[in-house]
Amino acid sequence: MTEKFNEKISAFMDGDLTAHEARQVIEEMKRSPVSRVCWGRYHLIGDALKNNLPSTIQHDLAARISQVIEAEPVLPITFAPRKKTTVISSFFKPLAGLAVAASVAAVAVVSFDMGGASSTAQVQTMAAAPPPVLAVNHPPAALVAAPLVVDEAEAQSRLENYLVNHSQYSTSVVVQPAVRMVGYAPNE
Amino acid sequence: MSLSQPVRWRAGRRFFASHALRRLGCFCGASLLAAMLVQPARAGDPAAEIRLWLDKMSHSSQKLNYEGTFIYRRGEQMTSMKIIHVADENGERERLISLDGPMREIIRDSRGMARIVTDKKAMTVDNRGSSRSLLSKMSEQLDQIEKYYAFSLGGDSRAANRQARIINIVPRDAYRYGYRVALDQQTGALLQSDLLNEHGIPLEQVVFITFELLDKVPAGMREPAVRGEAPHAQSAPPPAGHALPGDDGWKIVKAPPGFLLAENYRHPAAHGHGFMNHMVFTDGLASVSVFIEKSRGAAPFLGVSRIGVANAYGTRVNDHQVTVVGEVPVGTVEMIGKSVKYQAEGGAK
Repeated sequence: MTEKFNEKISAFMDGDLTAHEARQVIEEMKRSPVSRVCWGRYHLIGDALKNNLPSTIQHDLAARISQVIEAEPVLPITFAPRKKTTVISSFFKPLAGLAVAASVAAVAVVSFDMGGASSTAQVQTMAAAPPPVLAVNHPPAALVAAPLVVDEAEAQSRLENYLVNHSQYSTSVVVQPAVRMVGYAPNE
Repeated sequence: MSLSQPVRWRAGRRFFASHALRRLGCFCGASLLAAMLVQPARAGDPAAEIRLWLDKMSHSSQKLNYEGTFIYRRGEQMTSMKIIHVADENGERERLISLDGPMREIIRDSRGMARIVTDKKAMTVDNRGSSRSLLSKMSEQLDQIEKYYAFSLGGDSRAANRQARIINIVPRDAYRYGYRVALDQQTGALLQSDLLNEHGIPLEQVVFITFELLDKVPAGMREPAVRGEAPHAQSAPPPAGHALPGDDGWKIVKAPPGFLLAENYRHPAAHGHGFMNHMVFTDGLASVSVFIEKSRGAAPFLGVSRIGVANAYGTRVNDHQVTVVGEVPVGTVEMIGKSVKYQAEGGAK
């Protein structure tokens, strides 16, 4: 089912679908995060093929923004009449999203600089940079209502360190350690 | 392995057929023709043929001059890289350059020393222990690996716009994941490799999108593409073999069949206190790391956890945090983790 749908996404990108089919694809992509990832991946591959890759790709930007929006407290417009509240909420939601997106970008820049500054010449330091996918799972602490539990954060960081060490020192059929090292380099 | 796999690949082919061919035009056409003209000799015996392919892969991973771009996907995370691999009278050298995110580059020389260069720093790493890729060793270790994995030839495929042959590697038990690799028909080079979970879903993938054989070593091969500000930074090599298992009282009593100790390192502990023992177990294809470090009063990490595409199991033994990590099923990290014992001199547990 998914595979067939991925084919449809590919066909959609080629402009090979009828208007009706295209609408179906769009509707399905609205529902399914998996197909949205596929859509993004196909575009990235297409861009890579055309040698058209930008210097930075944030393939998960949309997901991160959605995640942060989810974690946002509801806008406190409780005093307004019911109908108006709905209108204002729906009007402000995208703006809130933009503000959050800007914050995410700021956080990304900060962590980039921190990663660059901590350039002690040690393999462990290099290796200790958390894989980006894990960072994605944790919305920036400042933006989330509930504070991060310190112990959990520490356990997470320790696990990440283990994983990076594991990746660097173990072999794999899929990738040589060097690929993982480049993939896990700091500043992500 | 489910029926979904061929379909998934068909989807990929369809994508490449529509996008790559159209956009890369006649260049691809010429490569395709060249690849089709040079077909490998096929033996009648599938086992012999598989061995032939693996030999070819091993040879190509060490002897070929090539340049390619590929996408490395691990779980939801994806990055693109360029690789230049050369082998001549000076030995085997390789450059890996990230194509997205901050600039990162690794240059590996013939001795296995790796120089890592980013836009902010540079360092040299003794990478000799892991410099020889598994690909180059797989064919010679095949007899051992085949006890735990079944190799079978898949159909013809296409990857990086070249004709490829698929080899499926299916685990014989539930303690390891499977693989599917696509080898270049002409050279045996690895053009795509997937790590597949128990449902046949790819967890980790390398997919070449371009692959080009080089006639000669490119002049730029000796120069890094990015320059760090601290070119002399150097890391200490991991003191391999520093502590043999049992030397310090730590034992893995029971591991799934085939997992043997391959490496034993001692790293500085992540938070600066003392050392961390790191043992790597492998069945020839999959690797599992066991980390043991002194508990520092922090919340211990206990039980099973998933971290990216890897599984982890944490436990506490003799006032030490023991953590097992690997791209293997949960049952494997759990079994190994539960079997870690500390046996002090004199035999008391």
